[in-house]
Amino acid sequence: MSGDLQRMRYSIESVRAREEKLGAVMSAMTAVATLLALLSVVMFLGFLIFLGGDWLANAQSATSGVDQPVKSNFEVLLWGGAELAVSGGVFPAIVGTIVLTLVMTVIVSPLGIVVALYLTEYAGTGWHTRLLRIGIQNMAAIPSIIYGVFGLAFFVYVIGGRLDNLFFAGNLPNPTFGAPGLLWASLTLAILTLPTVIVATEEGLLRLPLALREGSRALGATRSETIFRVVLPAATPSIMTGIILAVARAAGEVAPLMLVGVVRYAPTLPVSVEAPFIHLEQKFMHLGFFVYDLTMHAPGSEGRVGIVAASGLLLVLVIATLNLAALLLRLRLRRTFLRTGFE
Amino acid sequence: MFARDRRYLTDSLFGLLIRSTSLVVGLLILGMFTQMLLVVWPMFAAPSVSEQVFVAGMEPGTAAVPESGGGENPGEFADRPVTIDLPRKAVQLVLVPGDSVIAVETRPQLPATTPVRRQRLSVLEGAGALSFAAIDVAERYLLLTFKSGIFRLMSIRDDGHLESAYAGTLPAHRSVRPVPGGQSWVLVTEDALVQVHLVFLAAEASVATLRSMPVSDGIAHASTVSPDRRVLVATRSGEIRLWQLDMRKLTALDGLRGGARSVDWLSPVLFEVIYSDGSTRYFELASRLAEMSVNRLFFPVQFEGYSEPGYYWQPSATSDGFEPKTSLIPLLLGTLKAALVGLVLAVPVALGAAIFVGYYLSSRRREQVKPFIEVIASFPTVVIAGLAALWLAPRLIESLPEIVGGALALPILGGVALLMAKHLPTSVTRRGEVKVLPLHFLPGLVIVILVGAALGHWVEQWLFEGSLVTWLPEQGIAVQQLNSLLVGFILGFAILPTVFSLAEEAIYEVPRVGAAGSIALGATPWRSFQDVVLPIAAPGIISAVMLGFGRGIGETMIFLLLSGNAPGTDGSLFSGIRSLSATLAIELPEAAVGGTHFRTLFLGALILFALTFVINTLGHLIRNRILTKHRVSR
Amino acid sequence: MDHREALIAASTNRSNPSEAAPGIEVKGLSLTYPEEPNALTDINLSIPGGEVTAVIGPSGCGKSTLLRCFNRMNDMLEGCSYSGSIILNGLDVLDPATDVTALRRRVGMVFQQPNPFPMSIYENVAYGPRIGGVRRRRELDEVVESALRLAALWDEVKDQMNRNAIVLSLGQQQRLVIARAIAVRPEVLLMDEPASSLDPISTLRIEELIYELKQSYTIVIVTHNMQQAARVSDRTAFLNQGRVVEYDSTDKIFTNPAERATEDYITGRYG
Ligand SMILES: Nc1ncnc2c1ncn2[C@@H]1O[C@H](COP(=O)(O)OP(=O)(O)O)[C@@H](O)[C@H]1O
Ligand SMILES: [Mg+2]
Repeated sequence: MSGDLQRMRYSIESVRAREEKLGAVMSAMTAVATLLALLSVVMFLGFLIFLGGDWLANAQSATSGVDQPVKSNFEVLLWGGAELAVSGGVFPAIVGTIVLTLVMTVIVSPLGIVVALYLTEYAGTGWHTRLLRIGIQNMAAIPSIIYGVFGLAFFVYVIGGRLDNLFFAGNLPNPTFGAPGLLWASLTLAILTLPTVIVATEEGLLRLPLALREGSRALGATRSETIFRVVLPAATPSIMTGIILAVARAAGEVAPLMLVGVVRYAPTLPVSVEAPFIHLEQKFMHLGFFVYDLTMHAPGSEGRVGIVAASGLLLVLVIATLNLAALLLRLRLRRTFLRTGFE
Repeated sequence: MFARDRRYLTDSLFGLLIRSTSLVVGLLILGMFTQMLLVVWPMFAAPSVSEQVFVAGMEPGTAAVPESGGGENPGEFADRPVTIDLPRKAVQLVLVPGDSVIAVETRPQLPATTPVRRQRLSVLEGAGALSFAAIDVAERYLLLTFKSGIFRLMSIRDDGHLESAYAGTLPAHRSVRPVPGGQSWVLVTEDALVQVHLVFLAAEASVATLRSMPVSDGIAHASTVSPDRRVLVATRSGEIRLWQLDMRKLTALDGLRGGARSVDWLSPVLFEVIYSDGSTRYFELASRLAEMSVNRLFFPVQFEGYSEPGYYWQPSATSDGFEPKTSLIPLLLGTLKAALVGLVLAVPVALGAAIFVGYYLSSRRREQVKPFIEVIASFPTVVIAGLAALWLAPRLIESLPEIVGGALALPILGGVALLMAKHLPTSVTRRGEVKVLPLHFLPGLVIVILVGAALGHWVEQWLFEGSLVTWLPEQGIAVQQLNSLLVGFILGFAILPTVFSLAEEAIYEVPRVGAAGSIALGATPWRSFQDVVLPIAAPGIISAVMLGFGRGIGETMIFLLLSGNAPGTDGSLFSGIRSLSATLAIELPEAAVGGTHFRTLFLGALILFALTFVINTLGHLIRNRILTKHRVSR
Repeated sequence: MDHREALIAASTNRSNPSEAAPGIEVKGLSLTYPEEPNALTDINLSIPGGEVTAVIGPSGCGKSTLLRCFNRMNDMLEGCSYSGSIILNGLDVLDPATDVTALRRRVGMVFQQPNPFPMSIYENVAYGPRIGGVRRRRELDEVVESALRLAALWDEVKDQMNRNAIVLSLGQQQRLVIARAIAVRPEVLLMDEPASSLDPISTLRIEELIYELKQSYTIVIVTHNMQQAARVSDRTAFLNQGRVVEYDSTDKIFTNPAERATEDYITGRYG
């Protein structure tokens, strides 16, 4: 019996040594994978900042004349110069991006909130609700270019075409809304970001305890009053988070815009100081497309990498700011709920 | 009382608003799918015709279509001199057919620069009457066909002098109809339409049969070939059939009275039918849309001027009479190839990191590390691709051996360590498993990568004679600067956060009590992960990989900027590709609305949509199925 | 040796089943978490071998933390540090040099929620022996059968050994987990509220099982349920805010506690 035990002890020892070595190797490998992933991020950001920052820090040599004041590269990027293929510089593209995302936000926010409210406050557990959920879940993973195709076919040609026939028949055959433009691009992006808003809002709504709603209903409030006075205020941070994430996602999208109204160069801004202030039917410039255009029209030429990196840096900064805002909001939100013990 | 009613009214109105808006959104999702179907559908519909009635005396005239090469009555062509312009060579050929000799006059188009030349061509033995004469687009060859089926290809010298280049036989025929584009012709025989074309095999021109379409009850008359490559046939039984040259079927047109004697195009859609009683009627096809077939989209098709069937994507007309080539295979293959490369590169890193962050790291540290990997998802792909196109692309191939060496160094080292794990000295593993981010690994990591790169360089010196870039083309492997390897590399970076995030979530969500139970029995953490956590997380991990793949095939900007956008079907990693998504972005704004090209692009979009939809749904199903199973176990 | 003793012999490392399981000596044990500096403060307990010791106390008082010290499961938590000593059969459990894996094979643990592994019933029980290096099928069969018999589960599962453990009821799963712990032949069994997620009948079966097992193992059980502590344990420790308020024989604690706080807690007057 004791010999048996001896043998067993020995086998445990050797098995254990092997297991420990395996664990050490495997865990080190996963750790290295993590380091690699982090390294790739650092390298990308490093290149972006190094190449872009380097270019921005330099100034254009005044080739055209001694008297001409030397423009900093930052000014060149913003307002244009010989270095840029696009004469207007990046400024109109920034304005275009901002106007586009603003219009998109105006459209997507109410839609997203309403659908999230429906899913949490109204919908039962029937098949249509489930179908809607599956649809929304899938929407988030549909390639963005597909939204562009849809926007072109449905918004531009079907709806835009109808609008033209009804209200702008005088201009035909020149299309007014029957061609790609700001409105359709905003709508397309709104549909694209809809799942983001819905999911974030729904998450926030589900986090609210049932007691909150029941408390309000028990006081005799109707469902809509409960929603407006209790549910929505409590869920505001999640809704804001969703909207900011949507904006961040939209600001980086280029592919669908190529089908629904972005152009290399627009002679006028899509906003103006006179009525109607915003020109929804116009084509517009966009920071992401600007980067694309700069790259595409300088294949292989390394001289362009600085400008591309600089404008890319600009775009990444805008998006990073937005994402950071969403992150902070979410953190604050989580802390609030931790304090009230809802988690 | 009133106030309360109003409150209730508001409440129900609000409810109505919410429900209806949600319904609209739901319909929108369905609408995306149906919208695309609606655009695609007409391509597959059989052509339909309607009769057009014209006031007497207002009937449309003929000859709106390119003139037919051969006359209607047998023998007519042979009797009449034919004049052929050679604009590039600035000469005119006049063929005067005779019984056994064709006299050719070469006249300069600008008078009096060179004298008129005369040449006599002796006709081939038993060739009979000339049925057709044409030159190719490049004006290098003159094709002469005879009704007996014999043909002769003459090469044209710059001064217009003809030399026999090639002769052979085709089916005996009554007449010949030229096909727009000038490099193929339809022979009308007694009971079949045969399309022949000019092909170049190793720079030698020849004429070969491309497609043939038997007409079972015999041909009474065949129309010219319309710009949409459609021929109408009046059969001997008096019916009208339509042949679209690249379809393998003869479509019977409904709604036409029987007893037709001849038929001809008046416009690309309008045609006239003359009946045996002498009456004439006019009919119109509903659209110019070429009928699409699965064959043309997904199977190899031999096109005019091509010596072999193949997959080609050249859908739009670069010149008139161009035969559209709409195989989706190059686009699909290009997409899948790059997405697979991306997956192969991203998955090991993403899953390794997911295991480390989701299993080994404490919740607190996990929350600190995770966002730094997930942040990749927020980098606009256009910026990633832009940098890669301008900075990485010129360097990737140049330093490929070093990059591959550096990239392989780690997995090889890991594999060796794994194989040798048993023999590792205990001092190496004494510290146990890594449980915090080991930043002290970094110098070692960098050294390993550098050593790998150096080895790669060394291998390049020895195996590839100093330079892979020059070695590869010598082996017959074309190397392009923008290629699928580059796309895959960057795509891998772009899908890394998707795979990581979902897999990490799947691992982290597995309740820790399971692993704790195993550890309490004396298992190592890795053993517990492998035996207890992994089986539960596996479906989530599989779904993460699938969703990452779905993300990869839908990506557009990376393909657009890095793939070279050259459709091809080879398996090489060094050649350019073209993806479905990039094709949509490039071609859709330029395609004529409602045309075949436009609709084919929509079909591509639909396929991309369906592909990602299926992958995602499967991914979610796998994930959810296991979640429910795992819920039972808790 | 009768049948029962043979079973026990097969399920412990002790060649002589009548030899008593070792006791545990806890001296000056303190433990801090980053967020909870006084999770355990100066714990002194002398846990006799071969008996059942119950640990009771309000939620969050440190019962689970204490239990996890006995097999060093707290090592897995980041920022957790401890001092003092726990002596098991001459071995200082808390000594950093102690072989934790070997320790855990001597000190089995049963968790609050049944946590069968995602594998077959057989594989669940065979898991411990397997990772301990037992390879031969016959040997494994024997261990599995005796462990399952001892956990009073054999008759219920002997015909479905290859089914996934998830199909078992919660009560069966918990007994399976106990069998799994037994199969590595430990000396001590730690049970953290083993019956709190079970229905009354399953609870009863677990309690019977504990009673059976105490002949061969030293058992430490954390429970929320006063009656349960009174029914199954020989000695009881009452913990509050990381300190041992009172530790005595179960009879004494439940009939005539020395401390006011203990009495308040037991009679339900607590907080
Ligand atoms: N992993 C941990 N990290 C930090 N604090 C913990 C952890 N586990 C438990 N605690 C804290 O230690 C105290 C004792 O917890 P625990 O031993 O689980 O209590 P019990 O089991 O008696 O309910 C509690 O205040 C709890 O918040
Ligand atoms: Mg506890």
